[in-house]
Amino acid sequence: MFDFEKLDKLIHEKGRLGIMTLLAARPSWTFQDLKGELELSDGNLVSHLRTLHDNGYVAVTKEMLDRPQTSYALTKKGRQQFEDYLSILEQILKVGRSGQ
Amino acid sequence: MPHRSDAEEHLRIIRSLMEKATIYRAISAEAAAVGGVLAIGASFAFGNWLVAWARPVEPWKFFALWLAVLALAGVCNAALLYRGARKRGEAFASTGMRMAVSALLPSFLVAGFFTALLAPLGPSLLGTPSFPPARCYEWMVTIWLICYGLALLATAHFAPRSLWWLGWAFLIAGLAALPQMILAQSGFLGGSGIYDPRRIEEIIALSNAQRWMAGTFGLFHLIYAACTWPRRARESDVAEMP
Repeated sequence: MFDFEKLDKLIHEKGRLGIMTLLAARPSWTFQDLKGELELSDGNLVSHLRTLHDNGYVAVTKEMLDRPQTSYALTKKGRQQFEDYLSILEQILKVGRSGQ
Repeated sequence: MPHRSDAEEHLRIIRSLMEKATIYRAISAEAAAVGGVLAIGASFAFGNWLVAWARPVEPWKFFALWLAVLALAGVCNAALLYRGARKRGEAFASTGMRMAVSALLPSFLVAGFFTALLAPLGPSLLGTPSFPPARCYEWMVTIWLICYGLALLATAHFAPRSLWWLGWAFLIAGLAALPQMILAQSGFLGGSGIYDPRRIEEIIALSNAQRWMAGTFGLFHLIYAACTWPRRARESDVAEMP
């Protein structure tokens, strides 16, 4: 029997799941681009990003180009956790199918 | 314990976001704004908008003008796409860019072929009489609009929805342009006692063609730019991040 407690509750929240998915799809995202894609409020996005950063899932880079710019990327740990999370979701679907 | 429907919902979110993340915008909002302003400016400056003061212009000048506008807008778009790719840490010639180029190329080639054919040089090289200038303007605008619309629609499977709308707008405008220009011409000539109808026909055709160019390549691009202009986050919120 699969241990569903392994499901990462940090990623399971929809806002953070969105952030993790976008970061997994592309090497780096600016705050503005994330906000545009996810349609979250500034405060919500900042809060989710901070949580992910505090847990070591997301790396933050601040650059001074023509103006200050903050960009985000998955850390090695974050990518591993996201892949694990996906495989657990697949397991849930398999178990659900076999139980029908 | 999470339910199957819960897992399905989360996987659906992941799939839809992954698809969004691979979307490629072949025309940036900034480049569209620049292109729109250039098109309206060029059309106004060389467009014979005021028919009473208008003078005929050789067709090659019409082609040269719009070729220059296309080149300027294209360079600007490429520069902005390069800057955007650099910001995201991606290669300029990314998979998205290659997909966009291969989708856009066929329609651009068709437009280029007919431009070369209709331009005064084309028929003379073939040893045939040139097209009357009035017909050149009308057909060229129609072909450019239709080909550009089809080019944008060819990117629909990986482009954002806004480009799909822009493609349809150009295609519909292209289909409407030729009948409108012919009708406008016949209405004007029919109601006026013009001394030299052929010369006047050229002026009216050029004026109409330039209005269509301003209304489509100008105005459509400006509307697209306004609708897709990147929204900026409040600096204070960004500054709060660790």
